[in-house]
Amino acid sequence: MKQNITNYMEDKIVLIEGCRTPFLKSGSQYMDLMSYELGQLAISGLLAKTGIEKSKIDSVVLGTVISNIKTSNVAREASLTAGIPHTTPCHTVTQACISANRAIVSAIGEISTGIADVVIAGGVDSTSDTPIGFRRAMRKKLFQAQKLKTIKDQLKFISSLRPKDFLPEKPSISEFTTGKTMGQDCDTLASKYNVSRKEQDEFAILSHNLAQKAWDEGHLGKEVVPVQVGKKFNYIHKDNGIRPGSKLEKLSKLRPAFDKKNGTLTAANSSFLTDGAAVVLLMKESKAKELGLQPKAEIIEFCFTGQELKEELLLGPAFAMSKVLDKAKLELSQMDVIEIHEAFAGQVLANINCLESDDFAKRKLNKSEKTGIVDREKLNCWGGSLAIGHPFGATGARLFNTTANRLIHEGGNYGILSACAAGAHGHAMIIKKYN
Amino acid sequence: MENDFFRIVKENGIATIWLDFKKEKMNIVSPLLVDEFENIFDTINNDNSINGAVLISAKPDFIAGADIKAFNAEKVGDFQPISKKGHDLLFMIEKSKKPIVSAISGTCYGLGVEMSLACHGRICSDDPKTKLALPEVKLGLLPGGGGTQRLPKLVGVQNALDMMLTGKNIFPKKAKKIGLVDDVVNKNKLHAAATKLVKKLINNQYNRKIKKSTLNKFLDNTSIGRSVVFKAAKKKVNKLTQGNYPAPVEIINCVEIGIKKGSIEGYKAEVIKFEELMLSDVSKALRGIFFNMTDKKKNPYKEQPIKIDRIGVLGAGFMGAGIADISINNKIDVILKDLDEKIISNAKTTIWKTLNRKVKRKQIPIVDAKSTIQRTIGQTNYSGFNKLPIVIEAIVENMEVKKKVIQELEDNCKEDFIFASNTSSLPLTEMAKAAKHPENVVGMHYFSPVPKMPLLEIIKTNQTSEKTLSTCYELGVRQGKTCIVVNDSPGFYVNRILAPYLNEVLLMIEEGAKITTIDKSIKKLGMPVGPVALMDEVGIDIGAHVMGGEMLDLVAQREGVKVSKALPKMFQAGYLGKKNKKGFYNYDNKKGKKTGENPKAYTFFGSPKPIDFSSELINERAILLLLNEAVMCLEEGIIENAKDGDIGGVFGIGFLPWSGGPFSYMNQYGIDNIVERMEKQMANYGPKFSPRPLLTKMKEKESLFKV
Repeated sequence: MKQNITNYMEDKIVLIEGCRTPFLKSGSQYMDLMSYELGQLAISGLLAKTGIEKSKIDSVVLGTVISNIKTSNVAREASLTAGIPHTTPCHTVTQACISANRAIVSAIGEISTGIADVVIAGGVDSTSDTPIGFRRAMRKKLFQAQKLKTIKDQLKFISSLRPKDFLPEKPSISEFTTGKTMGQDCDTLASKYNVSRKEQDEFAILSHNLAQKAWDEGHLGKEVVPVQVGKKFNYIHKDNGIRPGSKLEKLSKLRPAFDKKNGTLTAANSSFLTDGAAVVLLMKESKAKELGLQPKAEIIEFCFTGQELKEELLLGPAFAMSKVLDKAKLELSQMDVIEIHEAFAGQVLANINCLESDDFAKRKLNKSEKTGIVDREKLNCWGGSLAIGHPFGATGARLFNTTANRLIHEGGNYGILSACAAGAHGHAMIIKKYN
Repeated sequence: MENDFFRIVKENGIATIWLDFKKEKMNIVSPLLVDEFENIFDTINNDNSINGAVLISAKPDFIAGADIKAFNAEKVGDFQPISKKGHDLLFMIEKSKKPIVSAISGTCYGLGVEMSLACHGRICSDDPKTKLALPEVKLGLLPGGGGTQRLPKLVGVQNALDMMLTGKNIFPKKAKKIGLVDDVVNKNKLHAAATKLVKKLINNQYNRKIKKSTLNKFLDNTSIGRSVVFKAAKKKVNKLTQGNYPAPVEIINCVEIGIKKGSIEGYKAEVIKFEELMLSDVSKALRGIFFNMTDKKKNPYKEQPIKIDRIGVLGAGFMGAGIADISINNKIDVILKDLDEKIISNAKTTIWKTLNRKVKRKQIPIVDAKSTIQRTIGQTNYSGFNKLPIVIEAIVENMEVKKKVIQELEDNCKEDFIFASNTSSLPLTEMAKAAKHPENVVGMHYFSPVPKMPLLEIIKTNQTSEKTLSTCYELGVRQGKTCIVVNDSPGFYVNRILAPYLNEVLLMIEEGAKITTIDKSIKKLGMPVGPVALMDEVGIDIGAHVMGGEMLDLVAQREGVKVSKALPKMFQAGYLGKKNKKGFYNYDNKKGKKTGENPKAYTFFGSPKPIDFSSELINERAILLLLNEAVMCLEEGIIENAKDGDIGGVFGIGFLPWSGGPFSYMNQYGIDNIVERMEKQMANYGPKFSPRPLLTKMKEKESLFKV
């Protein structure tokens, strides 16, 4: 296997620009939108921002987790309604919380194999538009009812219905294989890797404060396209889940959310359900030159990992960051920007502990030494998912974008981004500021 | 059988006539074609192996009507034989013992509909582009291919009159509902469905059933009911046309004759009346406008226009919102910038209202509407402006502000962007002085309300490049506008000819004319809105502004011209017209409709003693000054030619459409007549009525304007 993505082809693959909608708490102002509309808003914003001709887009790939049955290839609807011609093929991918990362990698694949030169990739999720269905028993009855012909059959069907058949099936976020919710899993992870309640609460407070600071200093404003939705087309500029200035004493009084007796995870140190979309524009370096577009970053390396489902569900970054650094023959200390997805404060801190542990490296990574020290000054400096929110399908594109923008702002060279996902997957990518 | 117009394919005893005019983009009926059609139907009637036929187009459109340029008549008797021949052809179809079914997809206008009416059945496709109409009335004509006789029989008098008097498009669903077509099918199944209908008709298995309410049965099927319908239609037509347009009246007459005296008399009347209308000045004028409008869809510049995907619009007020509206609805993206987000939100709400109305009428799906509205990106900064080929400003009418904005744009846009100003009153040449690239500065003067007004006045300075003009022209056409290119000068063309007309009206009020008398009189002449009501509609603030400044200087320095001071006075007193329900008229508080003149308005004219003005005097004084100003614009080269002058007049201010525009009006009456009338007014009202030198010269040479 070749070692470096740039070896696959002569051209570099570059990021031109990215943007996202404001991320809003589930059930707030995006309540009446379908998820494709969020995707449309993000794509329209990206097109206007870059000024690229729509017909130049060769492919659109979006990630999503909560798929609306009417728009199961949500990339297509988002792309068409954003005015991209129907001749541009679109597809939707899913890989839980790293769906957008998967979409971006899919775009890289298309570009490197010559299928497409210019691709919009990213993701979208609307947890406000979660499809709620009937339970299995009712679905079975309804399915069979389609074939009913005589009145007698129909009467029989009607008389077979019971009140409980009409109860909706509660949408679940538990892991299918283990039956445990992600919060329960993370709670055990935190205790396994010695992450205290206090550490988690402090980390959460920091995330919110940093996000607010990044808004105040205008960094996040540059990544977000304001949107106008609703009957009056009023503006939404900002993410609405950021709560700066929380006091540790107050947070420490909150009751655990998942394990009421011994748990350390609370609503305050976990990410909340979020609606939003984020996209990036990727292309070959030569194409960027041809179109007169200035790239922001180039892609160096990426990888996906799979872990054991019971014990390592959320340890994606610990595995993936190690793997991607090895692939790129780079050290963690060479990374100027580090962006790790914050599903839970406990999950980020557990991953950090693993990355910094010789023991973990020996046992799990077949390495003699720890991956490296995670410099907290470089980590999630503009806030993370805990504060900004986490639309499952979109977060990966946000991380990618922020990593590139931070590299430019902070004058760094290499940046690494990583995330965990349900199904015990991990993803990491190294990018380099474009010179 | 195959020739330049069609090919006939026989299959299982059914012939399909595929219309496919080789030399044209669309199937358009010319006099020559009538013979060809006769041959076809002869063949069909005489060929024993054929039991029925389908008439269908091999092109995306069925029959787009008649080639009106090819049908011409100079004098009585010229056209009647052509009409009769056409009628005979359609009788041949109608009376054929072999069923003939027309299969319609795409545009089906005029003779296309009339031919289908003569067929024994009609099927149309459900394609969004499928539309049927009898638009002859718009050209001052009547449906002369038997339409006035066959249509009422098929769809009832009410529906028939509605179609023929408005010329409006009937879409498939409605066509089926009123019985204009027998069925609606997917366009790929059109031929199969039509063939099936032919077979049913051959075997006598088809019964046409149309559901009608009891009321409609009464109105359509009883003589008392029908006379109610005719009476109501005549009344409505009289109110709308003010007696200026003969075609609608004749349409009603033909239908009435057909019903009361039988269709033989009806067809006879149709032949005679059609020719009469063909020879009328009104129809000539309306056809002239139509031809000019069609010509104007083509970009006259050799220089290639810059490709436009997205434009910038500055200012999200009423004009800015309108410009965004016509752009996004024609698939041009817009970055709409304003200083105030609230204004942008309001603009989008306004645009959404029209889109939502289309959704409610099922003209477009909700998904399309939502996609269209989001083509407008509203923002308060210049993000993305560096990629825009063109920015149209619709901000406050202030030279200094506009100049500042040009410089601001130059800092944020690419080097060669086009700066288009929607100013209605500021000189472009002066504005261009602030620009690094004056060759890229141009005026794009849209009229309010932008989505409804068909004209775009493109203003060039002597520095504006052909590339810029070509790009703006192309953009205007894509936005659905008819464009004229005029030279920079106070008021450009449209407001320039409007100014002396409105000023004269204000002076007449000062002399003691009644507001309502003036409006009634000029509306009767054929203007869509009375001049006083117009000032209320456009806004007294705008009026005061346009008639002030450079325009005022231009007019005031002329010999014998007195400028009314009333508008600025009213504006200062807080009168804005309809928009704040305070103007020459009073307005209903809820619906905003006019409730009669506002007696207080007269106080701004020195409360003159009312005098009786004859409507002839009112019209003469107002219109003649407008005409003289239009001639002056031609003399000064502000408009390129009289054709543009006509288009600007009709589409910009609704100048007497029956006349075809100011220059056609003068041609119709004769230049000597115009000069004489001006001199008559000059005797009483001074040298402002002195005919322009061009007019006197033309009178001597007995020449006419080239329109």
